[in-house]
Amino acid sequence: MSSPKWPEVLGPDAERALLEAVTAVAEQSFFAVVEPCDTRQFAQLERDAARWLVAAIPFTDADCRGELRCTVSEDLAVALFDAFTGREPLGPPRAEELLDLLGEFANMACGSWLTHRPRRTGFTLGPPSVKWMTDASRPSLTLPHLLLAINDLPLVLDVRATPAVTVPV
Amino acid sequence: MRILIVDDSSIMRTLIKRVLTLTAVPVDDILEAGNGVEALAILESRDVQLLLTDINMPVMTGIELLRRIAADERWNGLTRVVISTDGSSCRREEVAGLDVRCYLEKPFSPEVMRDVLTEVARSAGA
Repeated sequence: MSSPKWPEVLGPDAERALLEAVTAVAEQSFFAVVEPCDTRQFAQLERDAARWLVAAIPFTDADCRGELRCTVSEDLAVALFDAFTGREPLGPPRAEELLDLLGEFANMACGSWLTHRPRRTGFTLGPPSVKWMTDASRPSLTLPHLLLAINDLPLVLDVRATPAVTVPV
Repeated sequence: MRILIVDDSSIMRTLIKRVLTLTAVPVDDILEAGNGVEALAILESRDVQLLLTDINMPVMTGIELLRRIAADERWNGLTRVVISTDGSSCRREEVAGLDVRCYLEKPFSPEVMRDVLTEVARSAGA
């Protein structure tokens, strides 16, 4: 299954720019390696993931408003937490710390993406909304998305964007 | 030197504190705030030499915080550093007139942050 078409309002190469942004965030701040997955590879990683968290970052710029969602397995969230904080992985971090960390990861990915995409304009990010997915749910692939592995653990980035409404004067 | 870290993410504040301990800068005290309003309350009551602030925060943004600081001569000597995921040129231009010493864009490696903070903190303490 291929990813739905990326919204034109995000500008050219939005997909590539997002991959570069999340790669830079993972490498520089989390000492982790990002690899794109095809659906078969991702399905394999997905099978091993028991629980998932999702962080959503709303954004607006001169042309559009939208949301970047970052869905990760619990194992990946914990691995990112350990890498970022330098914590020895003796036990699971507190739930609120894990949510805070994933919100910061998504915030950095979204900010870096919007800063460095080919057609740059000023933008505003909203506060992250981070939650656990329900036990039965899996990452949704109905929006334009990237399937990725970070240190062999699954991550989905998906994007919703609509043109900004201009009010006639 | 007393340092105030302003970021709505406690994880990010923890990371910045950890990096500060890696610098050779003598740090007397590190204070924390989750937004601009909390930061102003601390600045009103404590003598702070170095401010490290995020931009995108609830309640009061880093931009508004920097505007309030720039408008009050009591804080003329406060060294200001922005640490933000928003590295857009228009945001940088927005803070350019607010006496910001350095604009550090996330993501960054701890080593880069250590070097920047060492340099800024040394000049702030000089």
